[in-house]
Amino acid sequence: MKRVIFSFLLSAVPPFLLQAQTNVALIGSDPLWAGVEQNVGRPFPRLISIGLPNVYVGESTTFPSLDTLLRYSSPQDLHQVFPERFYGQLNARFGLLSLGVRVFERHHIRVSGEGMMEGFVEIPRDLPDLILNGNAPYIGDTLDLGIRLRFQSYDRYTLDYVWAAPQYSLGAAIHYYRGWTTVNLMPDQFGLYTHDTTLHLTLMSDATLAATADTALVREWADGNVDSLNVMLDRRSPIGNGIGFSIGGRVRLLGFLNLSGNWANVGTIKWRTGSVYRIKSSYTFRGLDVADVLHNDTAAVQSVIDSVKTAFTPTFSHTSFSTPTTQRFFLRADIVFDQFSFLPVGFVLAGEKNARWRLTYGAYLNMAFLPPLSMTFSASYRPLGVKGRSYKTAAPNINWGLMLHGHIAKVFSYYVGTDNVPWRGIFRGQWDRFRHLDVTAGFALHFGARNPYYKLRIYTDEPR
Amino acid sequence: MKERILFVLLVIGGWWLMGCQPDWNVAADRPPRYAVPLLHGSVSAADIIDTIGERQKVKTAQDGLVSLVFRASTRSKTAEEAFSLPSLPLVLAPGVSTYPVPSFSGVQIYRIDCKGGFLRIVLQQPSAGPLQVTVESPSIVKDNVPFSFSSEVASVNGMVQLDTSVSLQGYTISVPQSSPALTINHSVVDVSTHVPVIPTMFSVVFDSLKFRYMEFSLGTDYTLESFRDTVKIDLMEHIKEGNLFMRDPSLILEVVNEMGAPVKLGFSNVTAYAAATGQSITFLSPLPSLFVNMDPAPGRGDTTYFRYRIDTTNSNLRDVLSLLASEIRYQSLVTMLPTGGTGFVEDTSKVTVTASLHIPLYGYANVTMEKEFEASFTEDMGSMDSLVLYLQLKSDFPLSAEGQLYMVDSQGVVFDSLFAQSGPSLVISPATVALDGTVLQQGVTFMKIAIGRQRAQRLKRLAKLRAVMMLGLHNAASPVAEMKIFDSYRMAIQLSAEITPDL
Repeated sequence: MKRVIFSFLLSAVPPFLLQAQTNVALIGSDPLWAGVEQNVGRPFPRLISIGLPNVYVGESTTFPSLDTLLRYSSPQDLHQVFPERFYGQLNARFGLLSLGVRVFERHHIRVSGEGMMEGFVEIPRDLPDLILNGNAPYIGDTLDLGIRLRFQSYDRYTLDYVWAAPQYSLGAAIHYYRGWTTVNLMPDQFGLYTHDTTLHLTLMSDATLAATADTALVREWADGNVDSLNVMLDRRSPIGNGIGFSIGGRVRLLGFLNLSGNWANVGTIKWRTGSVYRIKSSYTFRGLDVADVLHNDTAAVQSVIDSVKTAFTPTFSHTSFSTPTTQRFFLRADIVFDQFSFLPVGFVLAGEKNARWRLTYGAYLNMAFLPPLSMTFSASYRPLGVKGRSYKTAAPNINWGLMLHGHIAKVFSYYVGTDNVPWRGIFRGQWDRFRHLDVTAGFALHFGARNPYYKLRIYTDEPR
Repeated sequence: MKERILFVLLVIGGWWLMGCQPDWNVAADRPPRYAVPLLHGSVSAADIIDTIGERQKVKTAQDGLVSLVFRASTRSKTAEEAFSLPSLPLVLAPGVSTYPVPSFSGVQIYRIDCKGGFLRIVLQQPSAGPLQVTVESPSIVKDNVPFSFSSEVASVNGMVQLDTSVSLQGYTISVPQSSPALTINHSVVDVSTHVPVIPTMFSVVFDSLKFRYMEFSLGTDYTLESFRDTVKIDLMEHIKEGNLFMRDPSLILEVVNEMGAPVKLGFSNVTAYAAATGQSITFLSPLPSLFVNMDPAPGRGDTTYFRYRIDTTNSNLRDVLSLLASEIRYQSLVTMLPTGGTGFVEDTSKVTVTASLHIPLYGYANVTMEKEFEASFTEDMGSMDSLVLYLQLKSDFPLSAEGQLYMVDSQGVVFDSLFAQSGPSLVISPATVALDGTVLQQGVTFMKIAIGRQRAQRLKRLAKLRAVMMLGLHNAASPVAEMKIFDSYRMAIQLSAEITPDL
């Protein structure tokens, strides 16, 4: 079953060959309505803000192409060049509507609804290493072969509140999640140990496959019927509930430094019914028994196969289970001189957690020459990406982003941008570069009086 | 809808991957190497010996001493094969109802339980009308009902003719031992006049009789079988030279008589033959002639048993084996003796002769064995770049072995050998064993055998494998110090491989 899942994943993941997924441009820009991921602790620009439909789709991965893998197929190279785990993810948000109101001067309340889709897969480096180099270089070691994956889709309804002062603001949001569907493969352990001298092989497994699907469908999928995944995902009514929170804030320091931080979408969804398979076992293969071979026992091979099957027979339960939501944080520092407020420069440390935290450093330059058209250029660097030598098919570590945003008629605002502009694809016709996909776009309406707390000030007296 | 979009993305990704056309040649010079276990476990002396050949078996004494047993077994003809009953015709005379049972080959039959055969009734008589023919016999009974035949036979052209056979299956034919005669009542009557008729020819014939059980008396010797047999000592066939001393071998002759009659067996021409030297070896007294008289089996289903042991106390068997005898041959004559009363046989009754050579593994040996066997690689070895085998043996046996496996082509030319050097290599290290058989230190051997691509290619020429093995069974102190092999001794085997497939 693992083999089928692995082969399916391996065939499905490479299109997410993306390096960015940092939201640096998004964070650095001022797109006004991008949900709690931008900063829950920031006030609205005017009295009333209405968020219109917006979208964010981001993919990222550290998966190299097969060509690249083959080029670095010696164990030393693989371990030098590639991280311990290859990682790919797909996240999407579909903002439907939000309504925000500033009340009693400093208080801001907003409600919003979004559709969320999160998916990631994590393949240990040891797995392609085993295929490419075999287990002979790893005698006495355990190879980690556990693939982790999660896909889930849910709706998120948010009520958030911001308290603002001239030099700082604080915000918090609570989320209510309505889960639609999920598939989780979570091996706490799935490894192959090759013993010293005897070369005995021990396969260890403590893995759980949990899905909101009928048992039969999950079995079909595990048996290689890819179409059944489609059926599993095509759900007509939600079967999960959960709650979460986001917090954020910002502060002005030293007259020219804006610090802001945000921790968003921290929550859990409990799926009421699902199919949970668990395989917790280990089996040591010592070769065929000499006595069986001497006595020409042809059933010996089948006996080994049966033993493996028996050892790794999953236990099934039809029960509820929980999954965490994908959470993000960022810490941002902007250098802002009031006389050059149209040209801020900022630095960002951002992180995202699916299976584990993944960090990104970024910098951006915001050029707001004309109100209808502002531009934010960004550069981001992922330290956990593919490192070492450069090779043509791998994604670069440095990503260049561009976002366009602005106001039209002071009421209508828009933004559209990406954290990873496929420059080479655009200018050289190398369209395979468009594997990198990381885009966001949205619209909002703002009415009423200007909000004096929208931008942080250096003065402590009454806002202007 | 959004889920469907994701699914489409996944499928597109798969397509993209398939179109990626990775350059597999990049990695061709660095194929993967897999380390896998092939065999494990431990085997006893019995496990090993049982698999070497089919003829020898292993027997373990109470103290655990292991013996090799080579067995040859043969049997006489069954009673059914030995006693082929002839047709017995009886001419029925008017007014006579008692007919003596004829004897054949000195066998006087008293009772036959028939599993087959017929009573053929033949009549010929000129007559204008039909005749009523009746034959009855209280000597022939089935389920306590006497045999009875009655038929009205029509006249054809003034002649009444009858020739019919009645099955005797399930009938018992018995006669008194005091006067072995059958009682047969018969009559022929004219149907129209009810007047008895004396036919010109009227007879019955016991035809194709097959017995399930028979009682009889025998007046003279009746030869059942004369045969030769050979106890083949497989292991010795492959010994080319060397010293061998087994302390206490024995050859046991066993005879089982299922016949209800006394039997005489004569063993003669007991000789041995050594394949290594091509010489015949003579057994000393009391062999080569041995005669045995056996009592009859006491009852149906019973047997009588005779056992004769030839060992170092009454023969030169030990010397015969030291001369590397690979066969022991003998001749046997089985004769049934006069019964002196009533004897009996079942149809399957026979005399079985078994000769077993027991060789307790107690002694010393320094022998060179050689064996060739057919071998060829039908599998394509091209899918493998290299194979390295790792063999580890941990032995309790006070037995050393050096060997080599030569690969021979169809022209008989040796083109390769398992071990790199041309001569034998150490295969099994001997354990250090105390006088009482306690293993003081295991013998440990580790072998690494590499089969590279070129060597694998050469294996295509393989037609035969020639194994040469030098075995030593003795303790470290002296090559003629005797050792014992116990069934508690085991050899742990661990065979693993490092395989490099050719991608």
